[in-house]
Amino acid sequence: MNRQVFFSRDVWLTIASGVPVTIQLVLWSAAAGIMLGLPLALARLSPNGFLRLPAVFYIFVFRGVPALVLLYVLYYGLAQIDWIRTSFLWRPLLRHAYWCAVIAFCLQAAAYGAEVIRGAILAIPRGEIEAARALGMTRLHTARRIALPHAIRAALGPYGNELILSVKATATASLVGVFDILGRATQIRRDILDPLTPLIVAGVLYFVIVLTARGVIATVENRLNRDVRRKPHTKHPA
Amino acid sequence: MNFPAIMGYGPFLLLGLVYTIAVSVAAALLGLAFGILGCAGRLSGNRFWHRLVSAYVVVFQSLPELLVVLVVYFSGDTLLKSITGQGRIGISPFLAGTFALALAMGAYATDILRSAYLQVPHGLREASDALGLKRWQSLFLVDAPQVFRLALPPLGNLFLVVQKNSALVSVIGLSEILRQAQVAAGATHDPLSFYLAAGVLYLLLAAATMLTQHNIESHLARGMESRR
Repeated sequence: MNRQVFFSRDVWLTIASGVPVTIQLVLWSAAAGIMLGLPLALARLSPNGFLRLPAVFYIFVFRGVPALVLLYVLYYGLAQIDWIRTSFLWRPLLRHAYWCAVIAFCLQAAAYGAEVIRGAILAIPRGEIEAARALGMTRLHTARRIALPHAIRAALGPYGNELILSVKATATASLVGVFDILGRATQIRRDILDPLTPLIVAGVLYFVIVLTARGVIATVENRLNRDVRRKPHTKHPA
Repeated sequence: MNFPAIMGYGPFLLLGLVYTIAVSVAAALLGLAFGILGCAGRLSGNRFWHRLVSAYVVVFQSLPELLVVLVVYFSGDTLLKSITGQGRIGISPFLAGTFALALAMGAYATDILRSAYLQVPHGLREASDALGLKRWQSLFLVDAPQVFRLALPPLGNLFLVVQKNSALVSVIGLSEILRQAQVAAGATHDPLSFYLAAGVLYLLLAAATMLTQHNIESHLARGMESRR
């Protein structure tokens, strides 16, 4: 490691200019994890085979393939299909490494998010649903007041983990030339012929981002679990 | 999809498959060793080891695996150069990749093994004490089988992650699936076919691993059936 490079303000500023890009990629994944993950999870849980099997297949494929392979297929592979190059999506989206990365991460996040949401739905206690229905709550009311709070609470921990994993996964975008944190570091490595030091700067930035994200997730989780966390002062004999 | 071209490169891609399997298995074994050491350090009750392991876990659970692969490769390179004083010696991508993937995996394996160890019922240890087993006997004969039964499902999932992360070792030049696909794509100007073929190989590998995982799990659970 080169000390002069490590303490250079320019190096830090240049690599830090990749932070917003990394955060954008994470936010895209987070949004796709919920918005595409929810319908996918519902399809996965459906008793109807025409809905369930495609969902099972989608989740298997996009959880099983490395993000990097997906990224290369989208960025290098699609460009050789003529009708894609002439389609309306080419100019605004598929031509750009950034949007290919966004699409790749969203497709994967949907599969991971679907598994998290499926787990959360299965964790809803059936007895409470029955009790709510027995009390005369409508289906919508039951879903909103009973099922959803349970599911959100069950999903938050695993979803937070996925969020952290997606911060790490976005680093692969640098390999198709996206200027995220690692992309900026790669650029400096080439410019100053020091392969190591910019990576360490990037590592520090990733570490700070992940620690911050963990803190935020823990705070939200703590807040949502207020009533569960609070222990009764006196123990009542059963 | 250009099937004749993919078939022509079949042996070339299969060599990549062999390297992918080799690097993932090597990394998984080393990572498991890191996990066992980490778990022992955390549970040792020694403050220094506890802090060291906690730092290791939080750092390697936070850093992108791609970054770890690059840092291990280039710091190994710099280290070798400073020791030998020669510029043209490179560290083997296989060794660097194995070590990097294992470092990343060990951080998660530490957590998995620790929580599995804490789940082993206390009565088992009391029983082995009562039977007069020595500490190491009870560790290897009583605790270890239970820990591995409990830790196997998450460890299997972790192995699937390692398998996927092995694609990252292509960036330092190991001829694994993705690297071979890259070379073939460059030679034939047909990236779509070869990256798709690489994806299919990764999926087959994942399916094979899941099947094996299922078989081992039911084998290890054979004594637990009566309890369900």
